[in-house]
Amino acid sequence: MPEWYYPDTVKKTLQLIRQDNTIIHAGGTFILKRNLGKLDGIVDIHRLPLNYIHNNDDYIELGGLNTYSTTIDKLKQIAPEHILIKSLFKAASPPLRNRITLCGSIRAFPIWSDIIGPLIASEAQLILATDLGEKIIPIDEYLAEIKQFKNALILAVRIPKDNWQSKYIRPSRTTFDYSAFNISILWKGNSKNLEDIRIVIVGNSKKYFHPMEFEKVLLTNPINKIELAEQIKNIDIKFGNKNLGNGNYIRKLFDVMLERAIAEI
Amino acid sequence: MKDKFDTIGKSIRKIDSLGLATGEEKFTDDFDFPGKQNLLHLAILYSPHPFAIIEKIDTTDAEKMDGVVDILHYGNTSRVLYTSAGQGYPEPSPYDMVLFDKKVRFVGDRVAMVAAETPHVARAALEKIYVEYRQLEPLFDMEKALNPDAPKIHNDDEYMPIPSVYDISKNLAAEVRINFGDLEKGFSDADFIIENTYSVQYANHCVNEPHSAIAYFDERGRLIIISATQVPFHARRITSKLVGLPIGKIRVIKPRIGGGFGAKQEVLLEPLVALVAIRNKRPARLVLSREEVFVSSRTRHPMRVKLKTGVKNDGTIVALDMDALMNAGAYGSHALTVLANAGSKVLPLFNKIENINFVGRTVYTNLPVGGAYRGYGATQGYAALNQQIDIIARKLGIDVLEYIKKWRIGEGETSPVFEALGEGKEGVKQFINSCKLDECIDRGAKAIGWYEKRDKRIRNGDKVRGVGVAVAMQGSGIPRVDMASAYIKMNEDGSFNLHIGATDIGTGSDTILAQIAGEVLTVPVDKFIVRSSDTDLTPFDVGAYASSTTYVSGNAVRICAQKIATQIISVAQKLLDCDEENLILDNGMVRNIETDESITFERIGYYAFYEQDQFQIQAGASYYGTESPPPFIAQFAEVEVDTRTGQVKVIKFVSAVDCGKAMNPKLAEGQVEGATLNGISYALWEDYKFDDRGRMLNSNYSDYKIFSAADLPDMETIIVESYEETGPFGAKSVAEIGINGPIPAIANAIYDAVQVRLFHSPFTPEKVLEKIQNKK
Amino acid sequence: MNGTFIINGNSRNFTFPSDATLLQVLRENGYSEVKEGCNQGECGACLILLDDELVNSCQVLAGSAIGHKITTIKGIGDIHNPHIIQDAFVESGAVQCGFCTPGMVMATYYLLQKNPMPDDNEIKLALSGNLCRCTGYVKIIQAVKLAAERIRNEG
Repeated sequence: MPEWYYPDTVKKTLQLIRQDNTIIHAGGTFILKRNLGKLDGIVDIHRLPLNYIHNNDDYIELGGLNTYSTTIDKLKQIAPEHILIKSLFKAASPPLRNRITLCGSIRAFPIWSDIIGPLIASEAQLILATDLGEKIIPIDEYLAEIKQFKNALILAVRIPKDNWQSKYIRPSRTTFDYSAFNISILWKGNSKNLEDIRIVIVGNSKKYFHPMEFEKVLLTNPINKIELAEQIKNIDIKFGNKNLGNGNYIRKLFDVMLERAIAEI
Repeated sequence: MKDKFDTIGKSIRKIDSLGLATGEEKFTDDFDFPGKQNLLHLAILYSPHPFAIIEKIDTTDAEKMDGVVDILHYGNTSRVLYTSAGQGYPEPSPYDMVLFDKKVRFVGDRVAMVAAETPHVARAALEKIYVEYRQLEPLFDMEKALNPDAPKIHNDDEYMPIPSVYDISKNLAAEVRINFGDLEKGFSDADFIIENTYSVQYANHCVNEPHSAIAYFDERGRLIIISATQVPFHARRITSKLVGLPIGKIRVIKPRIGGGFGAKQEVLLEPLVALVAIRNKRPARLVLSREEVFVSSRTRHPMRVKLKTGVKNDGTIVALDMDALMNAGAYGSHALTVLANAGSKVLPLFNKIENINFVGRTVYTNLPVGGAYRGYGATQGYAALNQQIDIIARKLGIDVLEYIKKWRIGEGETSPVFEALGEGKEGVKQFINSCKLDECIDRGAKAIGWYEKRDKRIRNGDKVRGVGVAVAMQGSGIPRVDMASAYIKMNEDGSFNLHIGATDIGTGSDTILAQIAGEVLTVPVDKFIVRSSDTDLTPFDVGAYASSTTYVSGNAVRICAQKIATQIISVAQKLLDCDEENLILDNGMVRNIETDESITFERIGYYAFYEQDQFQIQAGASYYGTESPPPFIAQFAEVEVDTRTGQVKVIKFVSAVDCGKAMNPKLAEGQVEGATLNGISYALWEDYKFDDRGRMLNSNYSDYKIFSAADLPDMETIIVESYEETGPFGAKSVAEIGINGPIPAIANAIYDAVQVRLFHSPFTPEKVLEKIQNKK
Repeated sequence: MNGTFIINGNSRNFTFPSDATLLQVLRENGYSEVKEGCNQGECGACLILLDDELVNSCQVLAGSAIGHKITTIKGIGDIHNPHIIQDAFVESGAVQCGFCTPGMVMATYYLLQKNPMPDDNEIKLALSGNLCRCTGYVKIIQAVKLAAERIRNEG
């Protein structure tokens, strides 16, 4: 049976999670899927002051213990059109949004994650507490070496501020359902003159994907002159079988939904 | 026929609603009881194999665990064959189950059970039970079950307790055949023939409250079982047989229960808790997990229907050949009766067909077990028939609504199917007394905007809209089989105790039956102290199934209340010293219509208890139906199909139902709304997914999706009142029928939108898109 | 392990295994009004307020809730003094079997505190974590609207 710890400093927290068979408890929803009875320790980090939001000219910084709900509420005050509001609102039911934390869900990164795509597209950074001190790293670097950061604590997420427009696409069977995939689109400009665009897909066979060649096509031609369907077919992305349909169907669905999203820009 | 009512037809607050809304009312697992501190918790070990013989079970390590008290398996329990189907005796279902068998027949079948001091220890002990299986070749494809070389799933001493076709050498759990007229001649007279194969899939009831049961001994050593059951009396009888305790030594109580829908018309947990309690002289508790409810309780029976209809150009269906194959899963609970209903509740709706052949078979497979599920065979049959009717009408170039109105059964009419197909017994001939299906169709068509939308294929970019219709009838109890009884006594203050066996599973029958009694006795519902579903305190009732409660139990209550009324008047006559003929009940008093003198029930009550010729005003009554007057429904779906993704969205759904006189309109609507949304979710998403070893892959609410409020389409329910003379104050039934229309209505609407027909539910986007793309 | 919780205003001390969920601890200690429907956070039958936030008690480890405030449906109203929401559910015919009702009432209570005038869509989304198989949700949504109106009228 696990012993519970409630550290009030980051240093104590790092010491505790270094122990064998000991896990971090943030919101607690992801760890419930494990056999907790076999653990030696559970480290509840709620005493750490990680519930904050810092808003300055360059970035918004959200403490890792913000839940999806508090994140949505706080972002609504500062940036009401932010893509993270769109994605997190759909991510789960209201009571689950009150528990799932930023640090917990980034670390767990399930294949249906609604947070990872928008953060990658926003080029967010993570502020980590590690044994070697505090590190700030871009999120895609974190994801590429996630095993290396097993004993690190995600203190905060830093999202650069910019005047992006955004869309979030999330097909599922019913409203409260894991999505087959999701697409985060950030852009500047309009269909006649697209200044910049970032597209991130989460939920494909490689977990996430950045269709760089497709982005290039969109940036070098006016959208209404592009054969969108043709170009999208060329994107090298595969999907596994999902609850919404088999891998082939999901690919077809992806093609149509991406085409429609771009056409609406 | 009375046309002005005081309590009937009013949407009176359900008497347990406030207790439920404040968390005061108790469900099975909420109770305190004697000896609770000594409670044994049960956990079940399930088979990981689809078909195997248990060669050896070694429980030594598990027994040694601290807190493990008892472990049951085939080696230490008796082999008594039974059916878990909660039906009247003798049950029209095969006796093909034992509590713990030496053979396991599906992934999720019961192997052993641990009783321990805590749920945690009980579950941990399961891992220490070592089982040696000899695996057998499994059978998953029901179409192959009858083949001579198919694995034989049952081949010991199983049998059918009533005369009925049952052949385990062919995996045949049930067979039903009816034949009228001359099918060949009929087809040769036809101008065109429509032949299609339809199918409906596995589904789970998704009862809000998982199956739960508690057993304990009272102060006199009698066994008390509290159970979330739809059938307390059947549970008592079947448990008695299985544990060797006389019926009189067992009491079964159904408290509030969190949904049934047929899932709890099954005697699943009661014998288990009873057996452990008896063996260990301690109370026992078993509550299924959600996963166990999905895999190891009961499901909808999947069914494949081949339907061939010969039609003349004037619309006459001259021949109908229906071949139904139903998947029982590993055991045959309700295998005969659900199958029979696919014919008996469906074919009479179009009663002018002279040449009919219906062959139905239910076969065993090594898959989860089908049982009673709202609609009970009618759902499966109507999924096929309503699409076929749509196809016929389109081929004839006429409005399907007009076609249905022309050919449906009507008041005063009958069908030979009623007599030919019963539920295990012979059927009962009956004539339709009340049918307002035409009005249902007209009002429903108006509400959905039928004529504005049908064949119009209204477009919105890549999305197209369409409308479709489905009609159905059900029944009101099983005629000459279902019996209900009621007991009423009067208290000196003019309040009444109403004791009914009838089982309120959230439907509100406690309230409705009080309304019926209240209408007879001219008092409001709050004058009744209702007690139901306690085998010690309430008289017999078959339980909540076959849409029987309002009609059968309601008639029993009405008759009983009338007896009470007679007694009340006899006392009043003494007090008022007048002719009984002049006395009527009026507003809780007895009034002399000539002199206008009146006395209260309270005066009568005190007199009868204390003053002279003392007696207790009390009466009991029973009722069984000699017919089963069907409710009728017309259901309309408006869908929007995305032609590039295949996604189908239900925009609006209208149900117009003739349930006779609605006893309590809000409760009647509630039944239709719940059944309909269940049907819509079943049409679009619900299904069991198996791996190639027959293991269910989606046994949880993340993977098996049902609608939440966020998915609710615009749903409208219209109660069309008729008056059924044989029913209590004109009532028929309403609980099941709403689930029969969504699959075919949605399929017909999809065709209206995109001209592709889907014959096999669920209508997933993948299937719809494939059909759309193949069409091009 | 051992812990004190403030449940419906009362300080209660319990002993429980360290891997127990709050749902288990509540039910084992007499709070049977909190129901177990799926144990997975999908059905909402176990909803409570944890420090005024709506949560699935089956998804909260009791160890993380020690010292915190818990409100169950019995903390909102009782049979003698029902809350307007509870009464609205009864009047609208929104209670059939009643198993989902405590969760629905908690979700409604939480919604109306944050949004006293929700439209239909907001109501549906607020209840998206509550499953009901009996009612088809139609009368539940009507009950929420009725409750919202009555709470507003009460001032």
